[in-house]
Amino acid sequence: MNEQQTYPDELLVKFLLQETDEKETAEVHRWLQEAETNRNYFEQLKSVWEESKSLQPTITISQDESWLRLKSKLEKPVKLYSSKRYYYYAAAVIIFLLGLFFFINRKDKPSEHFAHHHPEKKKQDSLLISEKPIVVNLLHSKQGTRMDTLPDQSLVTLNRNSTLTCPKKFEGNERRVTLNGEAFFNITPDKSKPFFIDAGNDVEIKVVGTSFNVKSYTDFTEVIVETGIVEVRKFNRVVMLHRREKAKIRKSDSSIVVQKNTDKLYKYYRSKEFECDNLPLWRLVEVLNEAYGDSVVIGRKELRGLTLDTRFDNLSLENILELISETFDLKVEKQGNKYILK
Amino acid sequence: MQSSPELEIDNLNSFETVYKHWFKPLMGYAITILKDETYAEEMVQNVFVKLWEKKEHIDIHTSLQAYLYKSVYFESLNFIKRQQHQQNYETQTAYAMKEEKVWAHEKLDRKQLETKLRDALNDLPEQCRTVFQLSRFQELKYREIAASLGISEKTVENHMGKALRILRLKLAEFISLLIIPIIHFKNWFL
Repeated sequence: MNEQQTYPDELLVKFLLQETDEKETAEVHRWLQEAETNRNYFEQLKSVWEESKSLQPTITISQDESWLRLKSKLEKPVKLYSSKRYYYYAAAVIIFLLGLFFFINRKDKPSEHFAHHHPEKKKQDSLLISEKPIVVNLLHSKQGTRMDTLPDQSLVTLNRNSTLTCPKKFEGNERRVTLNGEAFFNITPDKSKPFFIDAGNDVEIKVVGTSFNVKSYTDFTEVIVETGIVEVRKFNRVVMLHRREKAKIRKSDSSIVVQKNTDKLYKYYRSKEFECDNLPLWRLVEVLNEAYGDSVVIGRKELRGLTLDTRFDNLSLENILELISETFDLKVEKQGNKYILK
Repeated sequence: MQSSPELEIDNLNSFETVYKHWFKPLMGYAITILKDETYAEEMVQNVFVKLWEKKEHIDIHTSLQAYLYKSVYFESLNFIKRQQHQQNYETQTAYAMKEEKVWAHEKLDRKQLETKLRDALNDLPEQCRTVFQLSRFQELKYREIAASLGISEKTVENHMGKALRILRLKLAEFISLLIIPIIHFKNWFL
């Protein structure tokens, strides 16, 4: 086909979308009858149009969850004053506060200065703070997942059987929490007040404002980053983790293993769905066992490598297994609490 | 078109309605630009945070829809610029695409086609792409698109013609994959 030729694209597309009036419709019909190449051309436009529907983005974030995140941002009183006068007020307040701060610090220091096991100067600030009685919030998810807002408006979603310990108010120059189990964090940015998570196995996670998933179990800790950069530390080893990277740290080992994170399964407890994109069966079973408690076993080795390309949306374990068995023509056998794929 | 809540955002409740109403279309729009859902959400939220902050003295000349699409567009572009600054965006997208290819040998052609189509869509000029997306994904009529973007129906026609022409050109090498046998055509035509 001669690419130099011009075609009445506007009219053709309009016709394709049934937006033409009678006269235009007749015109298109006439044009199509003129030549085979014309019909071919129209056919191509039509197929491009049909194919492009496949580009419709799939959105897995729920709008309710997203609204909660937005709301927490809106409720933070961030006011931008354009008038110069406010700068003077702000300056005055800052000077006053600085004065107050130094005054209090000077008063505090002598009394807090007695023999501490941490002689480094840097530690002093946080020590001062941690000596105060801290009111602690204990968030516990029990059997279901649980979503909560932290005092700094950061959002946390706890997977089942997980606990997050966090102060009622973040005081001092850091925000610090402790995690047992699994949680997804969406941290409100605040460069002046980094956010720390004690994630078990001597692992400490530091962020400024990002979103990421953390598993903190007795034998290992795992971090997956969704947005931004996350600093993961164990003793003197530090790794900067980027989007779509995963770090795994074992209890018995001080090394931090970083990998690309290839699947989106870690989202299951937030989205209630298992997204399988050419996923090997063994990996799906691994996550199902995490999600539903140990109960699924692959009975034959050959089955492990079978791959799935699908999405299970809000289904029970029984339903998912049924679908798997239909897809691969397997048997699911129930033995006590266990399901065996054969 | 669904009746669209215009700007009555004096309180959080009505703002919630507005947000939820526009969430999916705007997310879809941002995802095609950014190729990442989480970032897309961040951009959409930034736009709404700004809208909330200046709700008292905002001056929207066209419609809320046009305003929102434009804002999401600029927000996303700025974001990409910042990212490229850190030389993150390109390499990571490239990496992600490579990975996908390794996983899906048998579906290579389809995936290539989809990637090609997605890139082609991304390369369309901004308004042209917005019009195309509203038509294709929101399934709006020309009249509705014109009204919501504050442009004439003739302009919508032009954009649609242009969009399809460009997409077809860029997909030339894949056309044989797409084409339905010509025989079907006669039925359709009569």
